[in-house]
Amino acid sequence: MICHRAGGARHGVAGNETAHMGRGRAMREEVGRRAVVERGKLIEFVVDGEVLPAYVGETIAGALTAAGRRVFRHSEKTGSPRGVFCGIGICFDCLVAVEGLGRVRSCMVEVRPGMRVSLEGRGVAASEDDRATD
Amino acid sequence: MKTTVRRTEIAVLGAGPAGIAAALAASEAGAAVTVVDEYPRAGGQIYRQPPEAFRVLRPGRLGKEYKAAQRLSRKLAESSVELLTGTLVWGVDQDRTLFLYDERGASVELKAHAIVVASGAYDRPIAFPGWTLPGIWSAGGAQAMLKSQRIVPGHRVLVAGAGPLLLPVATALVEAGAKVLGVVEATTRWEWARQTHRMLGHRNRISDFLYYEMRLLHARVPRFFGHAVVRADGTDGVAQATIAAIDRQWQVTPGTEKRFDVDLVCIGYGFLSCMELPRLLQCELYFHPQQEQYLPRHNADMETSVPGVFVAGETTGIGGAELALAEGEIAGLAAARLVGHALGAERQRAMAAAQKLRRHQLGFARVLDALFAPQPGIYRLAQPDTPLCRCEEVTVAEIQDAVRRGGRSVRAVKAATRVGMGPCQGRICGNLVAHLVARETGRPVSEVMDLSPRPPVKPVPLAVLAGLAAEGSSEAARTAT
Repeated sequence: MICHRAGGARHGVAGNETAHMGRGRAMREEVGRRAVVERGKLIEFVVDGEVLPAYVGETIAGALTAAGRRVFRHSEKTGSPRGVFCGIGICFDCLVAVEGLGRVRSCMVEVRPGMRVSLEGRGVAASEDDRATD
Repeated sequence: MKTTVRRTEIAVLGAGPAGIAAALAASEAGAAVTVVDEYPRAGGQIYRQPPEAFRVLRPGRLGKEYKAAQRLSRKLAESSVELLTGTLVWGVDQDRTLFLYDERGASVELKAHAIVVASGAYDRPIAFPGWTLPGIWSAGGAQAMLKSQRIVPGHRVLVAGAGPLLLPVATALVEAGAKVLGVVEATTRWEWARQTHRMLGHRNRISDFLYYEMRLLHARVPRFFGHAVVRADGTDGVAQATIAAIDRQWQVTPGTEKRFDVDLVCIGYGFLSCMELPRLLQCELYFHPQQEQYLPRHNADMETSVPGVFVAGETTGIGGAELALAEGEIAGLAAARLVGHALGAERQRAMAAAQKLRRHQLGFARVLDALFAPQPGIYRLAQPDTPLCRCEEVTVAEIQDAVRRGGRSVRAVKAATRVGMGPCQGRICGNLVAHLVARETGRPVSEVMDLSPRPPVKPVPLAVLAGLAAEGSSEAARTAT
């Protein structure tokens, strides 16, 4: 599956990116003359050591989805796979760990160049991971 | 962590259609207004825009909501309204002090003379076997991903549920290049036909509806009426989904199952209003039987039982963007008047016009309520081993067990099972658990539904709470820590 994206040509990176997208099920929208938007600048971020492409303005969930990732973590009690569910910041299923930010809803936080994301909450300092709910 | 204390005349919570309309109306009437929203950009869900880093090349493809969103956000930018985006309201005090936490880590106490709550809604969750699998998305979430991120979350898709959202979501998926294998709608065409006469005064809505119908017909998208998605299967994400015919009580008809190979299922059974803030503000609530939720009581000026606290948009019940705009304008003008800005003749006329428009739009909302109200069979899709609470992974059987051991309300079951105690605070499972407890105890849903939020309504770093507690300033912080 070749993944299409708007504005890729302008930033001159379409080829580079396709390699990253090999496992992709999902995709960025149609390119070329029919593109609806021109994406922000192409950047890279790191997910558990793997470098993935993203465009400025995309959320972490968006960039992961565009990279064909569906499983963001496994639940604590039964180990069931979880990913995006509500997509609008209500359900907290899409939690990922981000260096410097702790556990965040990936659908709410925009990806930044060089951002280090860890699925399953691995490798994030415990002090940043403490969040109160009740 | 340092907390800054700030003051404003009117705090508007939520920058969707209702919040923006309220802020503009209040500001034009002379009030100092601060709008707070959790997202990086104003717009809310229906007026959600692509991120600022994206350049829109073909606005026509983004739909009429995009045009409306742009018009409103331009007016907002040109106004004197202060807009705090990326900012979470995690608590409120009775003296109208709001506790804010922003994405840069700053903690603010905002003191307001009046508050307009316009915090929107989210897709009503319905549990079925496999509903926690990655690739099962809320219809609203899929729409947000398409609309603002321009990312298509799957290639082979079922769009299922009940209500008017399914059509634009399916259309957007088709336009973005996904294969929509079916739109699965719980109600029947016959039930739709019987409401036609009540829709005649709402020409805009009918033309939207016909547009989506034509697009789906043209793309040869199969339509399944009187059907529901009854289960999803897969190991590391959804791979198959099963639909089945349902009767008028939305009870599955055995032997009618059909299976589809899919990588995305979008589920939308209408919406639930975000009620954390009206509850924290101790607004008096009433139970809306068709929408199956508690909503704040309010008068014709949209003021709640708590003086100085107004509500607008989906916070007052599910009704759509047009209704939200009218309610926002009413609430904004009334709030401005309350804090001392007399409304001239022109604004009084605007208020009367908005109230008239509100009544008209409410008529349409009532039609949708009547047509798409969830029927009890849909709450029986979950099996004994299906988790209802996704955060704490509490299953139907565990909740039934807690009821047998004497839990007669959601609160009692929560204490026994931890249901609703995870980070979502029961926003996802609350209604599902209420329906199960009601069924098991024979009590009405309205009586068992007593899950109430406590601050922080969404998780915030402990340091934010610790900072407040150290200053010893607030009841909310003491409750929270």
